[in-house]
Amino acid sequence: MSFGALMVPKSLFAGNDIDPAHALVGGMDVAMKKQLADLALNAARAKGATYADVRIGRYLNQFILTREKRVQSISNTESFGVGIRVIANGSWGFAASNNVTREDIIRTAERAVAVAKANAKIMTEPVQLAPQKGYGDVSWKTPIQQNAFSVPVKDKVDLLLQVNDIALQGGANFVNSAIMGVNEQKFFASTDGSYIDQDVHRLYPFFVVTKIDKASGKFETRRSLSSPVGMGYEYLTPTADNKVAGVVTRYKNRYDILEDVKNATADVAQKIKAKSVEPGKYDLVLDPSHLWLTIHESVAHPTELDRVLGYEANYAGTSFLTLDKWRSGNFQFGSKLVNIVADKLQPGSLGAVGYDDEGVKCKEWDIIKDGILVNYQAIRDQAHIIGLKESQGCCYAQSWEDVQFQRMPNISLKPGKDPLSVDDMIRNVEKGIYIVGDGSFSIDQQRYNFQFGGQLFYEIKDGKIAGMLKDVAYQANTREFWNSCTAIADKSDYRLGGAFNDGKGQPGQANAVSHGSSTTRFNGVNVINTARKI
Amino acid sequence: MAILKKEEAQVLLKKVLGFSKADECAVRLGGREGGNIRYARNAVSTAGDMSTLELTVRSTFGKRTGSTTINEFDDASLEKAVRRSEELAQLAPEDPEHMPLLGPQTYQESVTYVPATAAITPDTRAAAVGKKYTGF
Repeated sequence: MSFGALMVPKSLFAGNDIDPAHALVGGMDVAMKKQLADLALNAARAKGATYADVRIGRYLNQFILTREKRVQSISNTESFGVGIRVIANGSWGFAASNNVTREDIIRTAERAVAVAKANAKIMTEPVQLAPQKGYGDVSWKTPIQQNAFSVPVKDKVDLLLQVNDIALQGGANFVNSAIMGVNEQKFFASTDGSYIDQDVHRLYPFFVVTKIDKASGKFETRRSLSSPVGMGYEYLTPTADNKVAGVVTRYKNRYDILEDVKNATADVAQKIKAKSVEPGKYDLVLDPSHLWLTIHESVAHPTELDRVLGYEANYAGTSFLTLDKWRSGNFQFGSKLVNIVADKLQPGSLGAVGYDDEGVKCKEWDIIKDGILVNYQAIRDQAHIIGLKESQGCCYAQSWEDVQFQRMPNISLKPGKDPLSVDDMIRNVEKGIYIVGDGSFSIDQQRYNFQFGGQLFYEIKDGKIAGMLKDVAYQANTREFWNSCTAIADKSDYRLGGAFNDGKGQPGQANAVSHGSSTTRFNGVNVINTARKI
Repeated sequence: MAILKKEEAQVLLKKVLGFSKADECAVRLGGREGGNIRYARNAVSTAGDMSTLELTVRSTFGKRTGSTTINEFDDASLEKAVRRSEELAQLAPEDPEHMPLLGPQTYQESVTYVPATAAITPDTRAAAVGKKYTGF
């Protein structure tokens, strides 16, 4: 298991314990935030800053965790404060405080300038900031239908205990379930003339069902096929048109947790009896509930520009996708079918916001086009390095007290252009494995050689599903793998998966990011048996 | 504001305890002044200075406990924090492993305060990094 990219920084759990009802009480009003932000911007300028931005943020988290018949923990936290970033004498400086008063915000701005001036003494080259127009007074809100924080804790606990009960009644030995909710209420102002008020919501319901085989002493697990989403509690209201029928039911923009746990309980019993995979070369058919993680680790991390440049190595290492490969203009990252885009726009995605945390309006851009590496992920102070005249809008900080820096936007594989269903894709596979759900992963520090497991594995023989397999993992290197892509289902199969807590930086920060795809076929991939004895 | 003197902290904590109506009440005051600098390829990448102060109130009725934390320190906010922790305690399930508070204790003075560490400034951090990558 790779140490890293999906590790949860401890700082994610920072925040003050609160009464759940307190989360619904509005925070400081926008007019007051604007007044305070202007004080900070003026104070920074007066001390010599040539650029400054202010983020006044209220961050709410709710985590409810249960196990079998009991509640393990209920956590409601709130964190409120201000983070101020400046450029002075050509260097960055940052300071943050939980005191958001007129006097304190001025003092914090002055501290940020002092940090910048200290750093400037050892500067080798000044910060080059891509120009950014001010937007004036604007706002953006996640288009939710039901605020998860307005749903009583008791209702969530009852739902999770019902999930657990279904698993236990179905013969599971253990079951964990959880609902996590996030609400970021953040106000951004900068010397460029932007005053941006945003209300961002995210939700992640999930479970793990475990069954023990008493005869062998071994056990199998099956995780939920839910995704973390940039949505409200409506995600947990199932609808028929958001279900994907097949060998196991999967979900689009609405999730049926009670149906999925019933299926999971049956799956885990079937997994115990499943045939252990015969190692060898297989054509893989990867469901979006699985492929998101392979995209995350092998495409999204190595195209973060700071990793490419060697400025960042924490959690996910550096990158094999060095600038010379990009400059060549013909580096064949994948087959011609492979088109991968970055965005912070997709409705329901974890990355969706109106503006990033340095006041840049969000957009979509190509990363891999017709198989060729064409771009990276860059923010304002990196744009000039790859010849961009503007930021790509992927700057983020997990809270007011952390400095914003380049974070992964949604990185997604575009669906196939020609009509192709999953059934038709499987029909053309002679010897293959169909994989649903994400599992263990391991990848080297340049994001090149990797291994991925999954949740559910089905053998494909002569175009038909021949039964369940277990102990499956595939190994490849990133370039060979993406060049073995031979078919991508059309947009009707497109779905999002994602990471709720992707880690990066020092001090560590979490970021939430989605990865979309349709079911995709990769030919001749090496499959190992993870239960083998050496 | 982030780090209070012992006497200032005691005044604040006694005031908070005075608001309590619970069987047991524990109050924790924590302040933090922090700084960081990070560098790669002979350049500073991120650097910051951070200051927080927070107060956690933990109220217990029988074996039911609730806690809440605030970072505002006027009397109304302090009393609100106490009342909120008491409300949460009434809603919480009983903890069968709950142990009561120990009662008044005599604590040794902390010896973990290091003036040289407290005196570190952004300039100190930058100078240390400068030595690493330029040798000056």
